[in-house]
Amino acid sequence: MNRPGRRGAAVLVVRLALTAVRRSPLPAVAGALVVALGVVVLLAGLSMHPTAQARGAADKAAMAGEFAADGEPGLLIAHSSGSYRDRPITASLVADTAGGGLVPPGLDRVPAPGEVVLSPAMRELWSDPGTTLAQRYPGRDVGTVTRAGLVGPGALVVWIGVDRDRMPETRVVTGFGGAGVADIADMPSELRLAVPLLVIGFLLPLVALFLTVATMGTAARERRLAALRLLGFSARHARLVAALESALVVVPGVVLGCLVFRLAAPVLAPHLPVRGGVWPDHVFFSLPVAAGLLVVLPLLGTAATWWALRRIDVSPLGVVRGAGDRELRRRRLLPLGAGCLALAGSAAAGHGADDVTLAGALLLAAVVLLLVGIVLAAPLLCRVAAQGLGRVLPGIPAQLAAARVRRDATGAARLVTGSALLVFVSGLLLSFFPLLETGNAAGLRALRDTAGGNLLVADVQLLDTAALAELRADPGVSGVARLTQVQISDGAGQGGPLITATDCAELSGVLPALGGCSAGSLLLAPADSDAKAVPLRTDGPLQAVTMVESADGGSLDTVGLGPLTTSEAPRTSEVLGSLDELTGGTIGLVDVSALPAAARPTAAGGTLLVRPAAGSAELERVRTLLTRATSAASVLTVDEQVAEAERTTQTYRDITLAALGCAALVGVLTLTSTLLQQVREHRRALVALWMAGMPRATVRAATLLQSSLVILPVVALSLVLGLATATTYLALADGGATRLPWAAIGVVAAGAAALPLLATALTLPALRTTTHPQLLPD
Amino acid sequence: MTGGIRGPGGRVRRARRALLTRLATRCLVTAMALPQTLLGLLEPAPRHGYDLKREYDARFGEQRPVKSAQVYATLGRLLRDGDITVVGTERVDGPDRTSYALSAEGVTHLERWLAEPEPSTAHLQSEVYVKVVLALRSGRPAEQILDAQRDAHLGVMRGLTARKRGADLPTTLACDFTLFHLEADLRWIEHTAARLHRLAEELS
Amino acid sequence: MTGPLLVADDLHLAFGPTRALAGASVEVAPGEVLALLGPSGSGKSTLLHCLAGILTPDRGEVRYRGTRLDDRSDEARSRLRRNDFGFVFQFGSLVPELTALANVALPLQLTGARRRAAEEQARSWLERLGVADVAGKRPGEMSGGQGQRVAVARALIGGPRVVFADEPTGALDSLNGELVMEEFTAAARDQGSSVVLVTHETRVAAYADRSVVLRDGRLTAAPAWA
Repeated sequence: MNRPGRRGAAVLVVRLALTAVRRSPLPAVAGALVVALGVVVLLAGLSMHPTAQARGAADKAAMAGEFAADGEPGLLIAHSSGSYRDRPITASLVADTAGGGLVPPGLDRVPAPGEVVLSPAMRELWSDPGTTLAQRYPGRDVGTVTRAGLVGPGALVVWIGVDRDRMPETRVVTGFGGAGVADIADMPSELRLAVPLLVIGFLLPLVALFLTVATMGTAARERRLAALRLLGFSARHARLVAALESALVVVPGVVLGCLVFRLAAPVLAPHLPVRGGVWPDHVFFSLPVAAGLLVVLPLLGTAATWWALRRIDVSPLGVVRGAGDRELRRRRLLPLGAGCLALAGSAAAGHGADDVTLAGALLLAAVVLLLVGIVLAAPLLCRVAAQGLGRVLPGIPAQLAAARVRRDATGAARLVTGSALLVFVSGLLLSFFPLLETGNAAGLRALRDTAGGNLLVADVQLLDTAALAELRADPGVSGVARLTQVQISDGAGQGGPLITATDCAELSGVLPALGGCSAGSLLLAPADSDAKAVPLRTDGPLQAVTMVESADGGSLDTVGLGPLTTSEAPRTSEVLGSLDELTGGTIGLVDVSALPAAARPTAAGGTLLVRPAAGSAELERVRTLLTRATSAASVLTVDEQVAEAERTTQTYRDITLAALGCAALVGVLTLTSTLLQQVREHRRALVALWMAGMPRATVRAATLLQSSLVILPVVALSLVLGLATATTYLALADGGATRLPWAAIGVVAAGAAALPLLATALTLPALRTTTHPQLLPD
Repeated sequence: MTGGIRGPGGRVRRARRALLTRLATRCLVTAMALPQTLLGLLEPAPRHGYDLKREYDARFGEQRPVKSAQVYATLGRLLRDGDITVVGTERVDGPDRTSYALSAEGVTHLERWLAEPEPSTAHLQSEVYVKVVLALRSGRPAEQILDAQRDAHLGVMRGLTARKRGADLPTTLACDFTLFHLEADLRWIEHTAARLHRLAEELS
Repeated sequence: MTGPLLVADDLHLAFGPTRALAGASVEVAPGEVLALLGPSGSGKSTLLHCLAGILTPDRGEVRYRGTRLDDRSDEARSRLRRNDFGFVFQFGSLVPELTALANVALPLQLTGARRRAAEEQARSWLERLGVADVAGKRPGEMSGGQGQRVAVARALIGGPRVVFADEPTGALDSLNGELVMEEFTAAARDQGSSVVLVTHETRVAAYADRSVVLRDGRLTAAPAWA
């Protein structure tokens, strides 16, 4: 008795599998493509964190890190943020104090006053007169910011040389990067947590789909395995063959995926919709990771096939599937029930706020149990739904569909397992959204609600009065107002609260919703607002606190305010409150005419609000004027500020939706190819139906109904469970203050339900070619 | 095996050889088994000639009508050979009627006939059918009659198939002719075997 | 070797409520061609699968060369199929993706032969069975008769002690069926392989040395001319 030579057997197996692939390449190619797509997504997910770190490090290296007192040799630098058509611009004023030889990263010399140094992307825009950027950041173009000073190839960066005495900043920079720079994270901590979750969330349905494909198998593979068993392959050996065959599909898929990622990432990275794009070499494609995938994914596919075939008896007489529905026991519901109990327990523990740790542990257990429970309970649910609906729905298609589902509920449920898990996981992932929307963004959103999103806000560095006049006269501008801060005192002491000084007439032009601000008026925030923590008596005379400069430093003085009309208008408190977002918390507004001359705003400091004319398409031109008037200060609209504040949430949302979209794409591809194979294999039954006089339309309707019978109950179950889990999680995380993004979750659930239906619908054209009488005798 | 249906191997082998000889000469004999049939009809109880003819016609007459004279002549021959005996004479509105009964020798002859497979003939099934009916009526295991017949036929078929090996085309086709007929007989045997139970019920 | 090669002793096997075998016993002598005859559902294929160690009986035992077969491990029975047994089934016992030549060479390769040598031998078997012209074709591209001849070649190439044939001519017309049977039994007798032949056709059974008939899961009678 000789055993088959191990090498010989292995060669045979590979030859058999290769021949199989050559003979019917479509399923294998589709499988490899699905795997390749999965690998691309996986690599993107895996490189997200290192890329963010690399960008963070690049940012850090370009930042001022060592400082010295005024007068030391070094650089004076003032950074400001601008924007051009939603692309952020970093503009930096720079002045060399003593020719210390220090040069900012990416520059070959410090630009002298009247000179600018531009990044390549910036130069492209800057040199186009239509953009007005050359007026916004005027100067002679003397150099290019090289890579060391750019976070990405598309970053819009401009260094502007200015006179030392025009610099608002007085700290002298003596070095860049290093320990002095605060650790900046390009990726917020929530996202760092989310990335592995996303990868898992994406992988789970992927693995489920792998299993689906492996278990459904194909008639050809089963014939091959049975023939090999007859020739003396043991059952283990045959399973191994099947597993190796799946590996043979996965390996080219992984290689292809790695290759595509390797080739596409450097090309696509500069165009990624993140600030400045991404340097190609910041996208990490490490060979160890690729090699790891090359080992792990085929192993995963092999293990999945092995596991799936464990329940299937590959006998020499053919492949015998498990006894099927008879085996569907009630105890399949146990994990689901346990999960629900754990969830309820977690909610109860969290509600009583007794033990948050216990509630958290229970929640985690609930998530795991429910994931397993959904998979196990799905066949039962499908069968019950089929039984019920088969009785209720009229018509042959419904009967046929119900009968098919009842006959093989386990197989039918496999169709939807991936989608169900997708819905459940996405419910959890999407519940992160509301948590991420921090208070900062809330205040800005309030400002947007009251002041409108197109309001331009600029921090004044040094006011250029000529430019300001030009701005006021511009036809694209409907209103300009300046907000400054003044400290006032009720005479009880020299210290006192801050109040915002403005020209009420101008401000009312910019913010029509603001009432109660007129010449000589003092508008106080409502009594309960935070800013009034410092008490101020308004029944007596008030004074403004001013700084008196002298040769030996400065001293404080108080000057009495003019006659005031004091009012406290709750109706306007919303506008007032939202203005706090810009001024940093004051007790109210005072008209500038009421201020003594000594307390009037100077050329530096404050905030300039500009209302572009309604429907103005010339926002960028107005921004240029405003930038010049404020000496290249940060000039952003409220909308842009909101977007900046919500960047974390937005990024997270984008990533989540991209991952869900990719998972859905992979899902549709896999399911379609599997269903197509099934249609081919069931073609004799289909032809028989057609020959018996059943119209193709009925066969199609039955096929679609069959999928719906399975999909709707299971997706509904996972939707309900996903929402319950998300609600419990949110209640635990912040006491239920935030609400679920119902719409997003609803859309995902609808998409997940549509996904298998779409896959089924995609196979319908195949029914036409399949139901042909010539196919009847095989 | 009980019931004496299957005789000692030697006898069967002889029968098979005889059969093969007959088949090879293609001398298809149509044997009318009237004497044995009458013996079988007489077995349950003594009968007179007219009764025997009536039952014969009722059971098998459709396929092979028999004349009264034939019945009386055969009875006379059986009486001469000692297979039957006269048990009485009665007169009922006409001629005398003699009742006959089966002798011990007659039973032996009947059983030997029942046990012996028939050669393949154009009317074989009738022959076997008679045996099956008679066996069922007498409570003998009719299944074994069919089994024996099948074995005999299969044996012949094996012989013919062996003859075909390396034979010329005329011989092959001649053998095939018989093979296909034998196959048809065997199909009938299978059908009958599958429905013996119902046949027994309908006969009783 | 004296005594029977393969013995089934009082086999019982049920598939759920269906009784397939109810006390079937049969012996196969070395070199003997035995036909298992019977109507559909009589359990003849089940008996063949039990004899070949593919199915395990609920009760009773199968002995091959004097030792129990039915209680051996899957691994051991697979080894037997590889080394001692050959199979010809009605449909689909060929690997659909492989050419006729590769299919016939497969048993030799599985027992460790080199591909070239195996294919050389396979070619001579295909020639012997008159189907050398389909060597490069795949099972789907051959006629039924050609496919069964290829299957016969594959079953016999390893010189098995027993060839199990389940309705080997079931899908063929009578003339083709007889030609295949003629070549099959002649080749098996030539190399001294026993054959267990399941059929419901008496003309196919006539190629055997001996026939037994199954009805309702057991043999109807002892062999008449044993």
